[in-house]
Amino acid sequence: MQTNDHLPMLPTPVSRRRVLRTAAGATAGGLAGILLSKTPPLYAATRTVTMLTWNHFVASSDEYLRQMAKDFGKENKCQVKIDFIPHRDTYVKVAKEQETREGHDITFLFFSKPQLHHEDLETLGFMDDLDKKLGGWYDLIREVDQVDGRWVAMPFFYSCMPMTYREDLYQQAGLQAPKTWEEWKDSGKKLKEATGKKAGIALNQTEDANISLYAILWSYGASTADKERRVIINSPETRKAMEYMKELYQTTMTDEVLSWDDASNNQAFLGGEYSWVHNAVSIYFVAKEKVPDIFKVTNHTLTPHGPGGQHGTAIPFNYGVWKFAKEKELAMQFLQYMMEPKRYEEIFHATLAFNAPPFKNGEQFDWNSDPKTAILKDYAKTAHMIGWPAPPDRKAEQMRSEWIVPNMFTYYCTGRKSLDEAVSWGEAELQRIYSAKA
Amino acid sequence: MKATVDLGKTLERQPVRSSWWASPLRYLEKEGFLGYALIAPAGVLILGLVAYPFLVALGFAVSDKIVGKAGHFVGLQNFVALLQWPVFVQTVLNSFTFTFFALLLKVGLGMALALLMQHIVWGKNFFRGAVLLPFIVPTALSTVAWWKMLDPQYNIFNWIGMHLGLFTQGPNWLGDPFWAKVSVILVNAWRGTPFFAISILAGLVAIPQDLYDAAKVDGAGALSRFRHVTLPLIKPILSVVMLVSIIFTFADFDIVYVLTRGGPTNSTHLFATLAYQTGLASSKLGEGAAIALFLFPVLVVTVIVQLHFIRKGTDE
Repeated sequence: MQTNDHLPMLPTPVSRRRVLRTAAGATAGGLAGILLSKTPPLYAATRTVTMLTWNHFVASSDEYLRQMAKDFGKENKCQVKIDFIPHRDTYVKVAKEQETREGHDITFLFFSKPQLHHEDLETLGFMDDLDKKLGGWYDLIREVDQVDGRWVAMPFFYSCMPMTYREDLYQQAGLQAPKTWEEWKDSGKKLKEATGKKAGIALNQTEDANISLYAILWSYGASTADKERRVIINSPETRKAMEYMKELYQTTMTDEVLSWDDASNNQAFLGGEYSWVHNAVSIYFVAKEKVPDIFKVTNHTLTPHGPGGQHGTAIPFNYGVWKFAKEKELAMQFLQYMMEPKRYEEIFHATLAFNAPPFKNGEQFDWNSDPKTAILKDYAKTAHMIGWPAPPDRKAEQMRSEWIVPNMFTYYCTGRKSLDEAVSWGEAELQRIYSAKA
Repeated sequence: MKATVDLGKTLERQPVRSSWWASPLRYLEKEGFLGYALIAPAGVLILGLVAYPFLVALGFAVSDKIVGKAGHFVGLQNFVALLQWPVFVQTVLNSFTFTFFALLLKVGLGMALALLMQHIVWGKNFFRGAVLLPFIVPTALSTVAWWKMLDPQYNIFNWIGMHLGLFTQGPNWLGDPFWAKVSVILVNAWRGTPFFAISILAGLVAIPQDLYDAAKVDGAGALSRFRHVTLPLIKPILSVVMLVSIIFTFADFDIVYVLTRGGPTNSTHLFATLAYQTGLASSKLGEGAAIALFLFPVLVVTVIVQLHFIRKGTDE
């Protein structure tokens, strides 16, 4: 056995102390070094604006945004750092940023979210100048992006929800593109019987369901609450809209739509199994890039008419600057830069009109450059925010994020509640939301 | 004993130098002080990351707090309102159903898997490693794969079933309330089973072979050996694993959020997903916190009861 008398059997306290002492010394030395040097590190020398946004369904829009960030950075000797996240994760991210007062300088505010977060959103003084420069914002934009006359957010664009249909199938069956919800149902039924191709509107807890089902409610003269925020869902008009949807579901769809999310109808239509779906032009865009056969035979019409008129759901994509942002001035400059008219029209064309202009000068864009999206020019005239005619406020947002309307329709369409039970359920949920204090 | 003697000698040999910072360091020589000093960082972490958020959440739960606005104390109003809200009542039922069946599956499958793994000789390490995979892969990621497999358009289970002639149209896994519940339970069990299997296996390996031999000599068959030797000896481990699993299953979020977002018609909402929807998506932090904390008393009782049984088991 080796002799190890000179070696301690256990680590001595000296070594323990030495370790601690060395560590303390190193920390003190490091701190002192940082404090003494007083030279800002190189990477902090350039100013950086941070921005939160969604993963756009139409990739070219994000490419343009990245390019704008680069160009703006070059021109202003700064950096624009953009974080792209899935749209349904943005709600929580934004709430978290507001609550902790820490986050991106520019934040993404989908639908009526500016109304939820306005207390901590900086006043955007440039919005009135842009109003003049761009020929005026649509009234609807004022409802969403202003709080008591104060601009709290800027809409980059809004998106339309037209009927996306297979022109070839309709032509082969000798059918015209329908104009009313009833006609879409009848033609969809005929096509399903003749060709097996289905129609689709999501009946699930997903944004598209809210967007489509509100349009149907309005088209039948119904709504969730009136201008004074009184719940008016329990009406004969609501019942007619729901009866329509149930028949549409039973005659033109399969139960696939019960588990659809916002991407499902895109995939379904691109897969060639559908005669029509109600969706934004993202399908058309992806078809152009990846499924040319479908692209050639796809066409659009505006959201159909009903007994209560023609109504579409407005989907604005807004941005705001936090009051606690570190680079407020630069952030506001970048927002204005995003609206620079020449490039704006380029993006409009590159996204095949997915990024529709929320201002009146946009009507002078060359909408006819693609005849299949030309009709979208009139979408803004028919569009309302979710919750309309009640204001697009906290209540409307809560109703939207809790899927009240989609669930009310789904209960009835799947036969799990009778018409009266489903409407009563929806009414109780809406009362809970609208009667709450805040 | 020897260590203490050594320590004294060393101190004598090397007296502490008298510099201004040396005397606080002398406390480090005291085991009692050093012990607390070393666990202090963990304590700070627990206070900062567990106790503080918990107290803040408690504060939110008894207020009408909205994101970005100061809240006012409202007592138990949020909790009372929750009990009158059908969606919440549905969520409570969902959570108990989810936890009960997922746990049942995990115990059953975990036990079966552990017994199998114990008897595998060839490629033992490979199989033990492979079994852990579902547990190691980030849940959000693996659940996306499940979501694709359960999707109505790409559903592989229905495809296989239809091609084997088992049915003409399979179930609507994520679109029907019953099957959506089945789906989230299955995926949770799939992810949690390895944890049970490996833990139970550790218990099995520790059982001395003599006991089985003795039982065999006494004429015990495989089943009674399992009942009278295996089961009593792995009971403490099983109890701990179940305790941990109950807490995590009740608090599950990822699986439901990725697969169904609480749908169809709120039939798969759990406490965590409903709290997320109410507190963050709708900005009603107070109500959201109340939903998240509603379960707290239930979990405390569960923990106390389980720990009681575990202690009783080990005392015996």
